[in-house]
Amino acid sequence: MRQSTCGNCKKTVPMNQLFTVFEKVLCTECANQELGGYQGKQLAPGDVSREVDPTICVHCQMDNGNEPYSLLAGAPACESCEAFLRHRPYPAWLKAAAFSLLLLAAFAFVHNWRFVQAYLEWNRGMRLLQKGDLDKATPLIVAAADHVPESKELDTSANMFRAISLLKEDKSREALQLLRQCKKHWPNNPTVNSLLLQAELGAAFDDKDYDKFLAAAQALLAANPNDSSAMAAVASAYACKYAVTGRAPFKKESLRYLDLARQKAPPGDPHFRDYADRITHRLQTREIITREEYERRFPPNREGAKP
Amino acid sequence: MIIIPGWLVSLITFPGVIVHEAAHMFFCKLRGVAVLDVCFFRIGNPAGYVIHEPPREFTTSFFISIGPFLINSVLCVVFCLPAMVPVRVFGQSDPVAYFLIWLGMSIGMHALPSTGDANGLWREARAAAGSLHPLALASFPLVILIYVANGLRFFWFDYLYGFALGFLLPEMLLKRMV
Repeated sequence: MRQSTCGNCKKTVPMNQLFTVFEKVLCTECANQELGGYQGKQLAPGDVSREVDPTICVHCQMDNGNEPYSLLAGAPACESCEAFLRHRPYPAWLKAAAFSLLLLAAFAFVHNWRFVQAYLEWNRGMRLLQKGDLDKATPLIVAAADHVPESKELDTSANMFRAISLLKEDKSREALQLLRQCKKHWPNNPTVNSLLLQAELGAAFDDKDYDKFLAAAQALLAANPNDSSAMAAVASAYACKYAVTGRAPFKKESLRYLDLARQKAPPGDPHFRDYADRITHRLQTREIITREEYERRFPPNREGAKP
Repeated sequence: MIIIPGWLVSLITFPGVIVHEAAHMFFCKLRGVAVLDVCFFRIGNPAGYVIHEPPREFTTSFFISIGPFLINSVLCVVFCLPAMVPVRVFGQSDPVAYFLIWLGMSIGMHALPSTGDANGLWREARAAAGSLHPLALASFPLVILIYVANGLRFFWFDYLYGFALGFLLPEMLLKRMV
């Protein structure tokens, strides 16, 4: 510890107890006297400062005899204080909180992974749908719904895509059940309503209820007045009515709607061409057969075999 | 425009203040800079602080100033990611997910370096720019950006940054994974 003398009273005191007040080195008592008249007045930075004994650690007050400590940020610091300040540990509460919260985040990540999977499957499915690949998209959307069974939206979407696949396979009755569930959740969705009519007309065809088939086809056309498939469905229904009754007005109406559909259909559309061929065959033979039977009799690659 | 006192915002988002100061301290420890005093959170201005010795190199100053931006941003994504999809995409009302979103957003909101951090960085960058230190030269536009971002705090820029980081970035990343 170093000693020094007060510039006013000349008393020798430990250096740490001295202050520089307006450039005069004073002991505590003299400094208080000097500053007594300044109470409430503004002091500039540096007007008053404490003298620092370079042999005393400012952090732990350890005395190093007459040997000065090395300076840390301008103040003497012993080795152990310097080591502590350079590697100051985080408080235990902070470490415990960080560990617990990161553990919670990891747990939540694992627990909620199914939502991420569903989101990825849904997006992949939608991307495939945009490319027109319904066959590959449907299982992805169904898998997404299976991962998040609590999502009614996802479940309804999956049912809708399942129903579309069933309609493509001519399983109208099964599709109808699924679409009725969709309708409960999305009562005003035009796609669901349109698919429901397609399923209803498919089911009516399977039941050989051609009046119902015609009514559903006309409702579908009313909902989609510019859709070539809806026009072809009306043509198909009239063709069925003609096949059963043999009445010429039904044939005439069927041909009229088929002609309208042909004008609206995309040029060279193979699906429309097949549908139109089946309707023409029905009108020519008055025989009502399923698509499966038609394709068995007239395989698609044997163009010349078609009537 | 809703004006909420700064101390109240700090109180509501206190985990962000704690992480911000812990990040400053982390880079001090990493670069062997003595931490003379630290306050992780208090009701006042500033809401937290780290007092450290002056760094010897500019790189150290840079990382101590920018540290919270890096660490708070990463932690914001880490905490929001597991909660974002169930809440935002599937509308699930899971209390754990809401807690993680509050935590992540609070941390993200305090990612931006403060004007105090920017002042320190500006001072150090000016001193180091004489030796054409590349990081010091790059710091000048960065400091300007920090000042602008702090000015925009009045318009909830810090909240928007946390939202973008916690919600929009994970969603964008997941979409890219498809």
